[in-house]
Amino acid sequence: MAKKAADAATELAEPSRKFTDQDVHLGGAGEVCLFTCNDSIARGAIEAGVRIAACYPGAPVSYVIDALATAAQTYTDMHVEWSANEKCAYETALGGAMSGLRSLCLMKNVGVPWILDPLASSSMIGVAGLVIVVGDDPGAETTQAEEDFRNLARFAEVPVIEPSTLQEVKDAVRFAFELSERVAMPVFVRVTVRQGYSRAAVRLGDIDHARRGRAARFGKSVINGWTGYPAIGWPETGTSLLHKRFHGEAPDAYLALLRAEPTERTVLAAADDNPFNATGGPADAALCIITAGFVALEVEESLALLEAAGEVAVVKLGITLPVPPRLVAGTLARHRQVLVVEETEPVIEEQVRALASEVPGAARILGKKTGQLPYSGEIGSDILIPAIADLLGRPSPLAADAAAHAETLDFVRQRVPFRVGGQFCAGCPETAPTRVLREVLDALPGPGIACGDSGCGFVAQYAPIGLANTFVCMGAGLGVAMGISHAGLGKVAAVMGDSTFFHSGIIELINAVYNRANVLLLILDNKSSAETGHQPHPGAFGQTATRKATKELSLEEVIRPLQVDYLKVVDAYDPDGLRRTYHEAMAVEGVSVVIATGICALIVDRHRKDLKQQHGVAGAGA
Amino acid sequence: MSGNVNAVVVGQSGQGTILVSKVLATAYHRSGLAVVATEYPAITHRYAITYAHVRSGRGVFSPRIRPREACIVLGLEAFECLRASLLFANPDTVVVSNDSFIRTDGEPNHLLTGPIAVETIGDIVAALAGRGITRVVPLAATRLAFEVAGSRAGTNMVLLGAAFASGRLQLEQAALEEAIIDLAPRDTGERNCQGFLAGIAAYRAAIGEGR
Repeated sequence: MAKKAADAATELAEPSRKFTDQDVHLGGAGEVCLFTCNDSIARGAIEAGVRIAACYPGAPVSYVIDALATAAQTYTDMHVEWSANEKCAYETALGGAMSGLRSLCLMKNVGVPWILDPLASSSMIGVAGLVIVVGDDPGAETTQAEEDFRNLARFAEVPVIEPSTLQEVKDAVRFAFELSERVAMPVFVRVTVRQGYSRAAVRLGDIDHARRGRAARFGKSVINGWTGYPAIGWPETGTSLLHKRFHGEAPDAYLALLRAEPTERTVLAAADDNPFNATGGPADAALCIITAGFVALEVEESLALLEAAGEVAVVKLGITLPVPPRLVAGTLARHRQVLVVEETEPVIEEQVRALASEVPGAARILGKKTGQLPYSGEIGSDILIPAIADLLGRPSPLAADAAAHAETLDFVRQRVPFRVGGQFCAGCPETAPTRVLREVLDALPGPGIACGDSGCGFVAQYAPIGLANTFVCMGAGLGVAMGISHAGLGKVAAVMGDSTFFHSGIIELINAVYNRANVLLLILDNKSSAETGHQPHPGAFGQTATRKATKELSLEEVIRPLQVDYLKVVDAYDPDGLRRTYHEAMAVEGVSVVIATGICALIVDRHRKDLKQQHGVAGAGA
Repeated sequence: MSGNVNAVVVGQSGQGTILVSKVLATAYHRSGLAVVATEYPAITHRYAITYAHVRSGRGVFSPRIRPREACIVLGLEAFECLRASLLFANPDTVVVSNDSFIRTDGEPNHLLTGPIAVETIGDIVAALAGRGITRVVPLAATRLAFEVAGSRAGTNMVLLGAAFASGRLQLEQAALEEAIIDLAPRDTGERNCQGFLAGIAAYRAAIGEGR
């Protein structure tokens, strides 16, 4: 039944409108709309006249591309794409910016490590109009690692803007393009997962159609062009010279040969002079809170509940990397204590501490380093209120509730624990391939180890399937399986989805073949990036982000030339066929690949409902 | 009733928690009321716990609701309603809960299995009462959705109707109905509205109103 239904779906269903209204380009300036964060990001980019947008899906920014793809139906000069991975997305946007067009790429926090090479290699070359929106994840609600990508932005010395309200998110994305052009560098915009899944009223601005409509232009000058590579063969030239220019260390004789920007001086000036810096409360308050981004709303909420807005100063930073030096130095000089409030790593706090060394009589700095606030998890007003109350020398109004809640948490942990887990949806084509593989691995002699990966197949590690024994990150399963096999533990299995294969798995497979690994790779080919919302990819239905027809890559045809030792495509709904195939594949010494094909049951279900609506009940089973 | 609205919606992935959040936020917005909302779609796997916080009123900045500060908890799945209520409810909170559990192979999903003995909605009501949360209104929302809307997919709107009937949402009925019609997927607006109305009636019957 399920297989028949699966065969009926020949195209992706329309994207879900769960986290975007998609028609964000339609509202006129001044209109107030209830937006999601994804809507705000998309609208900000549209208002800025974005021409190129690229993304590999990842929470909480996956739905921006859906909104931009809808806009691209109207503004046909826009190019909007789902990229094969984050590096591809960044490079596409980079090329667009090199061509003089405002360009955007988006990713979740764990996508940023993928772009580090091209990012660090392009941050100093003077490219402008390039914005990277990143969804960070304090609390690791949707990611495998509670990474704070700002530390990676620092690696490439790229500025970071942190908006707080959704209005600011929209305005900050628009502003980020202007800032990027002003400082001649890529610019990050940081949103967090809580912010990313928020809804609030947003007043729209006008759309810069003229900016979007500008013709592409590309300068091919070797010296003044887009290459940062050492071109003259002398230590003071090339990449090193660009870095020297940034920090004001370049010899004057060479400066005439270069673009004027980027320079650290301009970036620092922009940090002090940006419209999202804001100060509030009494200038002579003993306590000042330095904050930024979404958590600034929690500060506002906390001070309102404490009725302390009149006795605590607040400095909200619009740019947090680098922190505005004049604003922060002035703050350190003015107040006795400064509490730095930010989520995850103390990126602002460390910069504030560094600046304090240059300020005579600087305030005492409090935050994560001094134990007032935690590193891990979201920082809500329930955490801030006791911390601020303590600094003000008064009892927390939440003390009674906090004690009761602590007791409840103990009760919950003991009696109704949150267990890690999840299951496949009803009719999921990944159930049988993973379940049968675990049965086969357990039945065969040997370690029976399987390495998991991102995507829906992730849940196969849980009971009752219990397939995967490792999970690291996107595309890592096969590589880890290789290492375990090379360690002498026999043939090891790895499982990944079709989207992951195109993201990075193909490189792992090439490495496995080249290094004669003894592994079985199971690819769960459900024809979409299903976990993140059924986005298309190079192997799914031959459709682009804007639903234009394109080439559909067959996994089998892509893999066959890689000279694997065993390759077979199996129906994901055929347990007997899967069992036979796994036994064959595990018996082969070398690299075995099994592709289990079955379209995501949710696509099939949505497709059937669409048909039903279009053609009435009779069409439902067609 | 005055003051801020702090509504917690909870269920499992695929039950329509996000749609309830979207309908509520839209209804507040269109009614000219300040609203902020945030959703916890978790990792979008089946049976993952899905939350939404919807807040309206003056002095509301963050969309996050502090522990024990919900004025209403709307539970699409009974066990998750228990867990959310333990965290976000206080003795004054109204808890509107579906009486159905999501089970696989006749057993509660492994996500839900805990050392606490909870087999029925009565156990949940008792467990909450033991923690001082007594204003709990259990409803056969899934059964009602089948009866009225022809699908369990309407369960979320039945419970939204009950939440509205509690008076805690501080919204006009018409604003919610309009939002349901506009936001329900495909052609399900009318059926979802029927579910919403059934939820209102069920709540009133449960607390002894309208007899």
